[in-house]
Amino acid sequence: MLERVLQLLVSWTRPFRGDRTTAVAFGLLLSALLFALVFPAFSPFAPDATDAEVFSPPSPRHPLGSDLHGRDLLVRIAVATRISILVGAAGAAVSLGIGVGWGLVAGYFGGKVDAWMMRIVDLLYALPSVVLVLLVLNFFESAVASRLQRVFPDSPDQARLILLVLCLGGISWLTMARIVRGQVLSLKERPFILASRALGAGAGRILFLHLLPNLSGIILVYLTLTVPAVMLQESFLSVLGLGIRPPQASLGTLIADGASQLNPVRMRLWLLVFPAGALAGILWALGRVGDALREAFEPRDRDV
Amino acid sequence: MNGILKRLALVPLIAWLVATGGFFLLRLTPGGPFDRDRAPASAEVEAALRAKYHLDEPLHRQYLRCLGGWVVGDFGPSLKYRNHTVNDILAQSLPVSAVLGLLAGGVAFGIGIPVGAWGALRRGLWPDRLASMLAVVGICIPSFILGPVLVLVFGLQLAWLPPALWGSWENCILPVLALGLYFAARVSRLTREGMTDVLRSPFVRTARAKGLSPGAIVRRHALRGSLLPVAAYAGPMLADLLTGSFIVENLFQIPGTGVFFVNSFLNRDYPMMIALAVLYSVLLQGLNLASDLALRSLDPRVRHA
Repeated sequence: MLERVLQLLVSWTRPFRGDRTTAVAFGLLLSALLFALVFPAFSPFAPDATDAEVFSPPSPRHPLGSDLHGRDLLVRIAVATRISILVGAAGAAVSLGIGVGWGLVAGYFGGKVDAWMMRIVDLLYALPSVVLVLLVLNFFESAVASRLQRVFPDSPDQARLILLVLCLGGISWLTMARIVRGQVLSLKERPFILASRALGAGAGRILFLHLLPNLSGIILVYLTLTVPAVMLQESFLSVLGLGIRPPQASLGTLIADGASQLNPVRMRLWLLVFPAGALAGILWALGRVGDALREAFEPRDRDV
Repeated sequence: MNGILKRLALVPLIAWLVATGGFFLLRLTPGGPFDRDRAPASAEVEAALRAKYHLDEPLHRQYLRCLGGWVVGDFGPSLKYRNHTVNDILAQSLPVSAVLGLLAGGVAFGIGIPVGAWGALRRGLWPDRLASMLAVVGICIPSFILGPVLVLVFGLQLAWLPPALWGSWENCILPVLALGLYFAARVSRLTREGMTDVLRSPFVRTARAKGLSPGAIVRRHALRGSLLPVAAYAGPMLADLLTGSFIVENLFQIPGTGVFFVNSFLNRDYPMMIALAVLYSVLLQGLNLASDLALRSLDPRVRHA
């Protein structure tokens, strides 16, 4: 069983063989995921458990130190990484859904439809994104929270998290739509599409059976680049106090907490350095893997 | 030429859409300018304030009143800072943000372009590796991490530079770096990609074949084309930089526009919010147009298309 799992993991690294940096990035990403998912179950501390050892520097008991309330930073980083990656992945998935659909329709139908749909994209580009997120959160948060409360009376309030994901997805689909549209514009004149149209295939069939599979490469590439972008946006909002709310924490909240503890009298550097390092490391790894995929799919960029 | 005129004509249209959308969405969001900690002393005072700012009129009357102001560029009084008009506040804060943003843009281009070009010319060798590594580090360290670290090291520990405030040239250095280094990293990657593409194209091979020195090839032929991706990115980048950054302005206590983007919403300062959204959208469109014009002058293929 273990051997099978290992084999599977090794086979995933195939595109990155021979490129040591990307292999390292991929490994880092996998271990970050594993750490975030598994570590909290084995940690001696619960992520919210307070402790008498307030502001402990890194020590055998708290390997990465503890914070203002004596919470263990290592386990908090694990839980925060989980939330950050969740927001990044879910937000990217939302942007994938909207962006691909929008780009496919605009590119395929062309003409007036295309012009109007792309005009809307331009309009949305012109809005400052923080404003948009603030508006949506204020608009819907209490409504969503009360509805969730009714359906799941026992679960903690997740309205903020859900809306955050929807918002971040909702503002990051624009580039995806542009890219997909551009690809569709060139693909739809290719002989195989013309042939299937001549055979009487409907728009839905052509879009989903013929165009979408041919776009999967470039979509995958931009998806891997959207995840870090969404994570970064989320941590920005959390630093502003508009993102994830306590008791939940994302890497952005931890960084904000750490930055607020910097003062000339007492330095508690570990509170900033470790969460910041975790975020920077994950962003780097995701970006590197995305770049490697792009190079694999766009041979033009490869070294000659 | 026609395309440019068309897009110029769209600028006021989009600005109007942004302002109108902002007006109605803001009124629909829960909360108001006189809520909670912003509540006036008594109900009478609040009623008087509402009457003074015409918030007691029906919504369409309010909208028409605002629209009349927008047409002549007047966004009305601020609901939070009641002795000032929105235009006054922007007139004071925007120059500060613009100076900060322009300097950060200067850092982005001044560091990013040479480093990126150098990396492309030594592609695969140690200068390239070093430059790429620095660029990656720069992209992965957002301003809300870099800012506190810069303050801590250069402002507090070494005490070489003032840790905050605005006024003299020494105050500029840390915020400009906190804001600009991220963009410098992005610009250097774009330059490197553009330069690599150009160096592989046939006309550079021809130039090399006729015996031109490497320096002359870069200066006379390659640099122009390799700036295309940078020119395309410059529009949105400068729009973000010029309107100020909440994070950096907040951290360094700089009296710029960036802080208002968040605060005016939290205070439900409707006129301020609308003014900022319009300002950003107009600036973005203008700069995008400028960056398209730059693309045209850099790339003959775009010019003739």
